[in-house]
Amino acid sequence: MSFYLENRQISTIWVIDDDPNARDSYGFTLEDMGLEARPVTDLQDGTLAALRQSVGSTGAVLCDYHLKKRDYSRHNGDYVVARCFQKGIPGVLCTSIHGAPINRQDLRYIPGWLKTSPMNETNLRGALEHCIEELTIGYRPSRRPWRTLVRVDNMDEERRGLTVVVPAWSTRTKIQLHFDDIPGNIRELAEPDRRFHAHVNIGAEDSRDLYFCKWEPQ
Amino acid sequence: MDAHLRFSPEIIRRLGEELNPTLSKGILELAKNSYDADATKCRIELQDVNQPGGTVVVEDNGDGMTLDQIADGWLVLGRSAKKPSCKTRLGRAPAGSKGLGRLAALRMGQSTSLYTVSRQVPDARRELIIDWNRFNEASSVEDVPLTIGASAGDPLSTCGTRIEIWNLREAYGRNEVKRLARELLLLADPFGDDLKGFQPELIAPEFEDLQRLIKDRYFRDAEFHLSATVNEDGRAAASLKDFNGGLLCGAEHEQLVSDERGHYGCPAASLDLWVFILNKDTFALRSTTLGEVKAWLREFGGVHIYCNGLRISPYGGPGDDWLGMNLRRVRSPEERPGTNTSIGRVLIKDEGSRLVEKTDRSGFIENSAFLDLRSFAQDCMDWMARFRLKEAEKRRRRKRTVTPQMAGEAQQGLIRLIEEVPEDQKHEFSAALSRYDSARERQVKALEKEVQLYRTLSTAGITAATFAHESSASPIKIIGQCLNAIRHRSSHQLGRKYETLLKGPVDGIERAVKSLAVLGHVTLSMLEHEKRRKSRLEPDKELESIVTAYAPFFDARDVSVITDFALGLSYLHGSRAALESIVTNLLNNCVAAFEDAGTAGRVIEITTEMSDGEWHLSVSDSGPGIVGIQIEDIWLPGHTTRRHGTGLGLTIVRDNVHDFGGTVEAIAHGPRGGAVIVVELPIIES
Repeated sequence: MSFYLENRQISTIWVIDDDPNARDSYGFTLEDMGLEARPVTDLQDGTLAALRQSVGSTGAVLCDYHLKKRDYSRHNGDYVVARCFQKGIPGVLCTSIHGAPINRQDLRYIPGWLKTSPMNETNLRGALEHCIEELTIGYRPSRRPWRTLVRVDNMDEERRGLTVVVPAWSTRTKIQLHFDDIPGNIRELAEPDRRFHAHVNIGAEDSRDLYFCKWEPQ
Repeated sequence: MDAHLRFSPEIIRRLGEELNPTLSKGILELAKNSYDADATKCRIELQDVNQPGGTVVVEDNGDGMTLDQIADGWLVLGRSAKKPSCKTRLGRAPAGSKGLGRLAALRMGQSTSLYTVSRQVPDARRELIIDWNRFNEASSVEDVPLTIGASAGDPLSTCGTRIEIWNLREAYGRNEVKRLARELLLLADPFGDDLKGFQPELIAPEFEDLQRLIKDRYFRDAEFHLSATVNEDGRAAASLKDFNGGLLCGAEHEQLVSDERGHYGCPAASLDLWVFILNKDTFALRSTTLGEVKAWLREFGGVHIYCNGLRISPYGGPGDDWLGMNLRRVRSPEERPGTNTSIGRVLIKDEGSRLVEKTDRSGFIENSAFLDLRSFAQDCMDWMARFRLKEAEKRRRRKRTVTPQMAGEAQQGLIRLIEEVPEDQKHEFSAALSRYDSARERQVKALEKEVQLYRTLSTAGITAATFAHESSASPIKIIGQCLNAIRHRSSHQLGRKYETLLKGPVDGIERAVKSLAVLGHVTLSMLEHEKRRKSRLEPDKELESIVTAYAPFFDARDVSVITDFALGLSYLHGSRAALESIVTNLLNNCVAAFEDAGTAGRVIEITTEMSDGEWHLSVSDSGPGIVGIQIEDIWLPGHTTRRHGTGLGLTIVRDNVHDFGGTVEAIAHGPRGGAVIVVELPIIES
């Protein structure tokens, strides 16, 4: 059996998780959905490139966020799924831990994100659908970035981050950004109350889904 | 028909501007060309650059160029005759490589003029004018002829090169000029004593300000100076000196390396790091002020890299922390320098070009040589941190021994004084001292006990958080996933029998997993750093989110929660962590009371209201109420009626309420039979 999504057939899911038991458990559920589960036992250098070649047009990737607890991968799941997406491979990111620190720069390449466990047919199908839709058609409305104002609320040099407010999204919610989420030239100029323009997906419902790109100094 | 590749003029724009898009990057490339030409002076003048149409002039007193050097070198893009291993006349290792940065700078304007006088042929003055607009009209780069002629004017008094970039396409603001000034000042290692005679100069007020600042060199105010080297064989050594240059300790290669590596695979390099302790006490007796040093470090702090004599951007620049110093400091704050509290440089001699700079000048390609260079610097800093940590621990141990000694000496002094008072009053004084002593002793013991309790709880908290993280990441996820598979497979195989045989136990496991997940989520969310920062809070909103997070926990204990929140737009000033701590401790107490007493009909009622400039929170329950302890003692640390209770929950509630500037009261038996706790916190605005 396979999933037919946006005129695309998905029959094999490559399962990426550093815990072999977790890979097996995802496998049970995928088999029950009639999909073939292929556990990825090692994601060190080179495996990702090889994976890109072997997934093909009927494959997709299911990837857990935490991949570095064991000697399994040099990157966490957000990086892996984003790179897969950039290569045209549909990928679903699974996070079960509250507040997993997803890299916001990669978020724009992660349309399929399962924030709640367990994974089931409904939520996997939904996440894959989002992913394939964005690969073939383009951004969904809630993920489309718009040029908008971003105000720096506070700087935290020690933790290498800052909080910002995106008035077009919410005037009251402060959004935590890590310095790595911001280009160097903006980081240099950032100070409390400084305003910038950036492209932000202001249709997002949750602040965790917001991503920022194309920053420009005001 | 013979054919050959041709390039559209568009390629010039793409190669240049897209790789070096800023004023500072472009001009820096021209300054590096001056360095390669053995100039000792390089003067950069900006005229009316704050609006489009301005002019940039770069003039040096270097070796200049002959006709052939212009035609076969300067005008050839993408290739350079300069090799780091071939030293210049002054013994410099050339920095320029492909000429693309130069192209970006030259194209900042509509036209560019080049005047040059070669040291080899001082009588021949050459001039070349490039009108970039002509390239826009041409179909390929080669179609635009350029003429190198004899210079009609006399812009150069001696040998050297002068470049004038006319009609700038863009305006450059103060920040960009300041960035350029900073980059130029740092270009040739201004911290060292050997400047190799190269002094770039920008004619702009921003440059003068920064030049004054950089010349101040506050190295003598550094508390520590770490010096380390790694040689051609990849073996390292380090030493740590105090502010006076006195050696504190030294380390050989084996003491520095962090892993099993034999040697570092990077070119020979040296590291110098000056570490400052920026507090008022340290600077109290110095002629330098704390503010001066902070301002200096703010501009130039961080660890800069100099390769073959010139600085490599962006290392050590604002916001760049290539050694992860700040992150390491956050993880282990004690005795670690950050980019705002230290300044340093790594000098690299890389004639074999093992380190390769990226074409867009955004640093080195992260090959193994660069990664090893970084490891070398980080290992040296780790070694310094270990030394400083050991010293700090020694100081703490000494303090713990010395403090009781000092107290004892003070007491002896007081006894001696009492000996001198008249006989009839002596007894009274001695008795008062004795009473004071025993009261103090009790206080110390109570504090020691409290500290121990806090330590134990902190450890328990850390362990709980670790377990919560671990269980959410794997076991809970796996149980949930496997449970789904069992449900699906057994219902498929057993049909209706599944409902009677397995549905109950499967649902039971699912509920238990959800409860576990909630506990993990609540534990981890308490540790969020942002929650500890004081800000404006909407108390009812916070309260609602806590009660929602606790819902499955209450469900699993048959506890009904009745809420009646004011939900007005009023704010408190304080940290979310403090408010969360108040509420969760009160809720935990209710649940514990139900459990201890085996209460039937478990109800918690939470109400809030706003009145008289205060937010009133009342938490009452249907438990046994406050029994077996004096009501005023419930706030004391360690006082509890529960067998395994810590007696700290209500103490923490009281302390947090005081931090908010509020009050807290307890009623032993409220309308629901159990205890009522009333918290009143001041509102900052409505």
